[in-house]
Amino acid sequence: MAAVTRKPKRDSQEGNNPVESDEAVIKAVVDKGGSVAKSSAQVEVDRQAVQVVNLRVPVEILNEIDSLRKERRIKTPRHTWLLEAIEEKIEREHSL
Amino acid sequence: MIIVCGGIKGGSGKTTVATNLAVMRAAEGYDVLLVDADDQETATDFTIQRNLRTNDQAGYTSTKLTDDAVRTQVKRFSNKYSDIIIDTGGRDTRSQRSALVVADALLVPFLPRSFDVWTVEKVAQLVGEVRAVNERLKTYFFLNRADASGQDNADAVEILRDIEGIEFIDVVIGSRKAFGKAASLGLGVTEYKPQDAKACDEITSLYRYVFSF
Repeated sequence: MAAVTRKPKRDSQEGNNPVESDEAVIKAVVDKGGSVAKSSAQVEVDRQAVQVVNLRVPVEILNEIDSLRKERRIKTPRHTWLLEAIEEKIEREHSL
Repeated sequence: MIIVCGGIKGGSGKTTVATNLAVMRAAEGYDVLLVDADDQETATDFTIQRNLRTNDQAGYTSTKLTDDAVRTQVKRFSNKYSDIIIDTGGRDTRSQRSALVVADALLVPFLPRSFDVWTVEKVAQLVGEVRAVNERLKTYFFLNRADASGQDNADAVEILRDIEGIEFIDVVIGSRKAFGKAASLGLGVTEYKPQDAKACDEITSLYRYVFSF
């Protein structure tokens, strides 16, 4: 058996349990996060990343979309449904 | 193990990863708690759909928590479940920070797009702040919804590998429709038929990596 060995590794959790950390410090770290509602900065980022398109859709098609949405078990907004349709179309075109 | 699927960019596939890992872990017989800490509640919707499909036999327990309750409740549940998987929203929220304070690992998926990889430094900063109170937190980046071809994947990987103190997982999950199709039915991609072998292989590789931490 070797007389000289590497220094044993300490348990990474030793002394680092959040329960033992200062509650005020933990709270300060947590409180730096945003609330559930969007911050104005995030709204601005979203505004930059998304472009509004005025889409003219025949009422008949919209009605059909709405009836398909109603058949879903999970409520899907019309906007989400349309985005899904667009994504599917893009994927189809790419795979041609 | 307490795992957070997080980051500060929306649409990176956090919920898809979280729900798939929960489904796969539960299928192996582990007692899993899936925590939905995202105000969009998509993981909760997934579980509702799954319960409808499986006669309330989702295989795991699901709960929704926000803000400081994520930390206090997860800490309380940590002795009752073998694994807790927390899905957070795509922003730096109190909920996400609460989760990270008690987590063992943070998994951050990135799309191979500039807007996504530009958030790398902010994620690293967030992790740095959390490590001040939770030194055991390990952080892992990986590429999700990757392109089938082109240079963008490699370019993104080069940026993601370059962050000090954060490990890059060499598992690439492709942009595969099977994930969306499975999710809409309340299924993990490994449960979905017809099986997408590539999607299954990719998520299984990630699963193996994550649970061998």
